[in-house]
Amino acid sequence: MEVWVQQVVNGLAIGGLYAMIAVGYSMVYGVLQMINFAHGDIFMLGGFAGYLTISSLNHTAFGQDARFAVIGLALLAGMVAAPLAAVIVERVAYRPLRNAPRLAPLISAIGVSIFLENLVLRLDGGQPRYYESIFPRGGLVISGVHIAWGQIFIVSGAILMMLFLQGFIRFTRQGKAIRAVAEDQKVAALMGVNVDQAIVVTFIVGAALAGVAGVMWGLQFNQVDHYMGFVPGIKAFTAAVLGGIGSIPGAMLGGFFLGLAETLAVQALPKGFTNYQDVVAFTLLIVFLVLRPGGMLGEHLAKRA
Amino acid sequence: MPLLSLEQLVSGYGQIVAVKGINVTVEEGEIVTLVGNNGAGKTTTLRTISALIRARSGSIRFREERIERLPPHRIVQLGIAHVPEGRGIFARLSVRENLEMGAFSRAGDHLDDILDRVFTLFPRLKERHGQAGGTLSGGEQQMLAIGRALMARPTLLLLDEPSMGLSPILVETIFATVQDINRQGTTILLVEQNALMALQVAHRGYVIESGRIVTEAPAHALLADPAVRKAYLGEE
Amino acid sequence: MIRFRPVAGHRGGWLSSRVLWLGALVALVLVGAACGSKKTTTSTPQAGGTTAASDPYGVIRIKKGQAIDIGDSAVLSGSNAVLGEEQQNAVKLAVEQKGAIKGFSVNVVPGDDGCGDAAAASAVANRFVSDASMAGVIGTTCSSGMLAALPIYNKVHMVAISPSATSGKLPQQGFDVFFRTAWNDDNQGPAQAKYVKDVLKAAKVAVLHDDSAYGQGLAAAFVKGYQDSSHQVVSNDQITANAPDYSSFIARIKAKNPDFIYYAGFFPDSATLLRQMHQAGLSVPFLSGDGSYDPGLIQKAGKDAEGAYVTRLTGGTGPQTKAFDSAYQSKYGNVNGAFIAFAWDGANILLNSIDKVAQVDSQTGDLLIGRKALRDAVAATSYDGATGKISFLKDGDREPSGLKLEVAKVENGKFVVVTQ
Ligand SMILES: Nc1ncnc2c1ncn2[C@@H]1O[C@H](COP(=O)(O)OP(=O)(O)OP(=O)(O)O)[C@@H](O)[C@H]1O
Ligand SMILES: [Mg+2]
Repeated sequence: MEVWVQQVVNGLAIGGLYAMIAVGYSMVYGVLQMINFAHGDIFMLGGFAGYLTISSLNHTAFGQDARFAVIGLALLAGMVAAPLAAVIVERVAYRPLRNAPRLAPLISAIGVSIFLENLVLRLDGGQPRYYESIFPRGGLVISGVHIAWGQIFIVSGAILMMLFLQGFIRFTRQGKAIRAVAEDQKVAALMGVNVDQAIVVTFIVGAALAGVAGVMWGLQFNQVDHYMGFVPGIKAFTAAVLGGIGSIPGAMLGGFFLGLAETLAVQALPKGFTNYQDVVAFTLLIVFLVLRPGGMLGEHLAKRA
Repeated sequence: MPLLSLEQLVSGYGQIVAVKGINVTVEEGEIVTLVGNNGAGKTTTLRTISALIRARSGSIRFREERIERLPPHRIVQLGIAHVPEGRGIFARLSVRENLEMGAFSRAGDHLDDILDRVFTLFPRLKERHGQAGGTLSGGEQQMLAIGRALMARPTLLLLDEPSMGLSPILVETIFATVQDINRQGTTILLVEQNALMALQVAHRGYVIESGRIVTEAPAHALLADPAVRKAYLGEE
Repeated sequence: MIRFRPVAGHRGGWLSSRVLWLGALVALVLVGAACGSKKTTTSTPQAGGTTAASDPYGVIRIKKGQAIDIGDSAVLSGSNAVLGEEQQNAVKLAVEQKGAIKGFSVNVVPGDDGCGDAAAASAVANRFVSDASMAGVIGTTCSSGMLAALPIYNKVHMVAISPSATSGKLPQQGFDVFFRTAWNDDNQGPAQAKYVKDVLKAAKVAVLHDDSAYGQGLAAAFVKGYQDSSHQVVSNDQITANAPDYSSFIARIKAKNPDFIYYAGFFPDSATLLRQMHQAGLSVPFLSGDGSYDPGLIQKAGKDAEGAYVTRLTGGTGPQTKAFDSAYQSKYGNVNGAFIAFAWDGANILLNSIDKVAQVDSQTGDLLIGRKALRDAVAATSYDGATGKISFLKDGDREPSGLKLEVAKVENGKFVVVTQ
């Protein structure tokens, strides 16, 4: 029993990261009906921004005195660098193709993804970078279940950011603009929404979450490299679909669901098959989507697609 | 000085030129209608005014100012609201949220009195304010679309076929409301296939055929014109 | 099986399918070209030439004034990139020290084989075999890559000497171009088992491996040597290589109450395991093999590496051990990686063999290297290297006599050898 609770904790932690990345896929799909394949690489850039911050501050007097400030600055760096990159990508690679056939921006996104990976590969070399162990080690032990500080940090951070995001989307002017653009760009423009701007804000918000996730990833798993965005990107995209692409709460739910599925799979699988965790997780996904094609919260999508 | 004037306006889609150099003026306080058959270029004209489509050549002046190069959100801020063909309701937003979106261009305004005004014009919307826009009936959606445009407190209201798909009784109601709105001070450019109704409420009318204005006259004169009656009012 | 992150950090998943598609395209073009023109790829024997000119496997002809290429197939990107970089450094060092061969300079051509990525290793091999000036190859770094690349090298009889592909499967493939300066895992696994039983006194071991050719083979060899009436393998699971998160695997094995963790795989994953063992409060000793015997382990795991054991096989010190260590150290710093000296030895064997068989064509001044002659020269190696005395068995495996297990423990951020 205890081990299952432990697995749930583990699943929620990795799921929280998937959720934060998934939101970006879902939001961009919501406004542009486009799968932003470069989103995983935006996440990677966030991870690198955090790495650079930590490695340059950690050995200064300031870094020694104020470890939490360094963590905070690293998160901030991810939250700034990733959106910056996303804005450039949107302007250069997606906006000119806004009225092109649907396949064009998709291909462009794949191109951007390859470009960003190789850019970092060239600039930084193929060597992975290790975050210095700056995050507090250890954690809580509750009747035999270990919850690392990092895990607590990720899950609470993810939930907090989701709440902020929900508030932003529901109640702010820009949030409303984004929702209107997601429903109908032309009509949104007729309401006085600056559609280009709303789309840029969408990219910024999604990338900010991914950038923070990239830094959290580095803090928790210690390593960043030019290719780190690929697998989490695929998984987060899956999570977004699972939750109902276009839906922000859906993306979050999908992220946690996928994290739990692949973690619990390791526990449930028989000896000799434990590394089939992804197979299990994705089989679940397929079954789920066959039964409920719109995803968990995406009932509107089926109508629209 | 006309509130709106289109001069030699040319517009279209890709290879297709749908509006081929039209001249239209709308004076402050008027209801002007643009009637014509399917595919004549009515919707294209309105879309070009709202900058959803770029004008190819010619000019659009609003209060003497050239506006044909402005982006759509700037046009709304100038006071031109557009009720699009097919209504364009935000299906997932509630009725109230749809109305609030209508006031998007009026950042910082207090919405209460204008909301009251819309709810007085369309009491049905008040009853259904929490309901998702997509679940409204066609007539209710049309009311919502018009109400939403009014939320921007426009000087000029562009209406694209408000009668489409509505029962005759509802059409009467809608047109009565349009007249109400006009009396309360909003200038209206009304696009209609239902020429009879449109000409009955309008002050002046234009007939558009294949992207060209073929006739322009006071509405009652057009109603009396045998050619117009034959072509647009279904008389032999 | 869906494999979202294969062993190679760099070219996994869809990227490798991109590479595959590109490969397929290139292959199509090449086939087309081959059908169109009857161009021969290997040089034909020259009339009245030297003995090398009549080699049954064909002759490599290096034009006068050009360089002899030797390939270095290594993992140069992704999590394991440190291993490949060390390999490349060692090869370059050997080439520099050797200088010109019969007046021909030697040029090292690198290729990123992504460690366990079959597609990447094949792509590198295909590139190398199409290089008309390439005499032989050092590499691959990892066993899975070698399995994929060997058939390609074999087809043109190009010698490939791996410094670090230790899987027991490789010599069984029957390719006579295969050699390695590293020893077979079938030697390491049982030696580790003996050490864990006799010295570390663990009775209930949880075994993990990364499902690579290397990890599988080594774990199997360990389990075979470990298990008996008083020593129990409480779990034996494979992890997904290069994944960021093994917390679920650790929770799974923790529930089995092991008193020892054994892992067969590479250092980045060892580091992740160590970190997350710590997070999960699983504080039992950890031991891993030569794939984890790299300073990268300590770099990545930080404090969590403390107390971890790593092992490798050594043939004791040879006459060149000291000289190599100081030469490498003065050029590249740390010489702690398990396979660095093996790569240097491998490169020297290749260079010396080229030196032995290469002949200058008296008419053209070109350098001629017979492929079979070169292979046979490598096979006949008897060399006192930095890793001890090296000769090869018939199947290309390194002769194992005099072999010892070296165990190191991480103490204060350094590997400290705890065996004599
Ligand atoms: N998005 C578009 N792309 C290409 N051609 C279009 C597009 N929209 C309209 N057209 C063409 O432009 C011409 C004018 O169309 P428009 O929609 O302005 O007509 P309309 O007068 O509004 O007709 P209706 O009364 O049927 O709404 C038509 O020939 C139509 O086929
Ligand atoms: Mg129309």
